[in-house]
Amino acid sequence: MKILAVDDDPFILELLVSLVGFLDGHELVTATDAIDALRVMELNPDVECFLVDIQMPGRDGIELCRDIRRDPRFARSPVMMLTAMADKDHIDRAFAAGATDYINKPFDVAELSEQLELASWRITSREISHDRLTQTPSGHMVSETAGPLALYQPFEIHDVDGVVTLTALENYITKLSRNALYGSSVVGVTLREADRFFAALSEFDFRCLMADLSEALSDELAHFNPLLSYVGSGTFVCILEDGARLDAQRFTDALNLSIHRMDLHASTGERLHLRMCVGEAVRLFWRPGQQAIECLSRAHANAEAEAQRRERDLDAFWMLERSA
Amino acid sequence: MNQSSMSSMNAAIERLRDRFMTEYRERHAELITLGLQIGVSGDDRETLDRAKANLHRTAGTAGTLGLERLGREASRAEERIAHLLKSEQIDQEQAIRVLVQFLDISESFVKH
Repeated sequence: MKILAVDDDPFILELLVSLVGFLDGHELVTATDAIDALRVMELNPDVECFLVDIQMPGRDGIELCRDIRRDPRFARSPVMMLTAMADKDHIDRAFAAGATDYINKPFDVAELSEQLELASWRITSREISHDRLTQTPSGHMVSETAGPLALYQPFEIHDVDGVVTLTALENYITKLSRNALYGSSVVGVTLREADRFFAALSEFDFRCLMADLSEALSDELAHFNPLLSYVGSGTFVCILEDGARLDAQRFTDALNLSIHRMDLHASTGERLHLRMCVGEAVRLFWRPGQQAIECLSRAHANAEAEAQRRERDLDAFWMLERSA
Repeated sequence: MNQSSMSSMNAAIERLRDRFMTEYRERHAELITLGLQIGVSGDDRETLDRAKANLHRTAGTAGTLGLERLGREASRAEERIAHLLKSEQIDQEQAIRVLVQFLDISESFVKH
C-alpha cells in the first residue's frame, strides 16, 4: 500500500518513514503542506492511504481531506487524521470532511502500525470482492460488489453531506471522549416495508433509492450536525448533536413530506410510495468505546421495531374497520 | 510488527529524539524571546499566536518521541494560551505566567 503522509513537522515525517520502512509491503511518500500534498498526489496516482496532520501552514488538513475526497481516484482511500487537535469540533469537522479515522498525537507507533495494517486489509478485501463505486441517476455514488446484495448488507453512499461509511462512523463514535459525547444521541431511521421494496426493485434501484433517502435524511437533520451511515435493511443510523431535542413525530412527518416531494420512481417508471420512521433515540452519555458502538446496533434495532409496530397498528386498523 | 522490527523502530525513535532535543533548544529559546516581548513590544496577540504554534509542535511531537511530560505540558500551555486568545483583551500577566510555568518544566529537558 502506498501511503502519503502530510505534516509540516519533519520529525513526524521522519518517524513515519522509519515506521513504514519496518512494515512489510508498504511504501511512504511525504508532503509538508496541503499544496505540496496535491502535487505529490498528481505524481503518485497510486496512493492508497493518507495520514494527514490538521494544523499546517496555509490550507489545513481538513480542507485537504475535502480535496482528497473530491478526486474520484481517492474517493474511498482511507484518510487518517494524525493530529494534536483533540477537541470535538475538529473531530466533527474532520469526519464530516471525509476522514476515515482520527489519531491523536502523541501516538503510539505500534497502534499506528496496526491501523495501517487494518486499512491495507480493508483495501485488499474490497479488491477481492470487486467492490467499486457506481454513479446513481441523481449523481450520488454507491458501492457495489460482484456478488448479489442481501437486504441486511450495508453499502457505502458517497457525496451526500454528513453521510459517511460505517467504518468511519464507528471510528468517530469510538474516538469521542466520554465528555464529548454528552448531549449526543444515536437515532435509527428506517424505510417501512424495506423487504417489500427490496424484493420488488432491482439491486441497483434499491441502492439508488437508499442514496436518495439519505439525501432527504441529511437535509432534514441538517440542524443537528448529523453524521449518518447506511447499515443495511433499509436503515440509517445517525449521530446527532443535542439529539434529545429531536421531536420524532414531527421529524418523521417532515421527512416523509420531503420524500413525497422528491417524487421517486423505480427505473420501470413505477412511482414509489415510501414511508420512513424513527426509532427511539439512544443517548450517548458516558458510553465510551465499544459501548458507544453497541448504541449503533440498539438504534438500528429500535428503528426496525418501530417500523414493525407501525405495520401492526396499520393491520389492526384495517381489521377494526372490517369488523365495524 | 515483529519483535526485531519493534526494537529497530525503538532505536530509530531514540535517534530522532536526540536530534529533536538538539533542535528543541531553539524552540525553548524562542519561547523565552516571545515571553519577553509580551506587554513590551509588538502585538501581544501575534506574539501569543507564535507561542501557541511553537507549543503545538512540541505537544504533537515530544510525546510521540517518548518525551511524554514535555508533550503533555506543552499541550496544557497551548490550551491555556488558546483560552487567553479568545478574550478581547489579552491578560498579559496571565500569559506570562503560562509561559514561565511551561519554561520551568522545559528547562529541565533542555539541561539534559
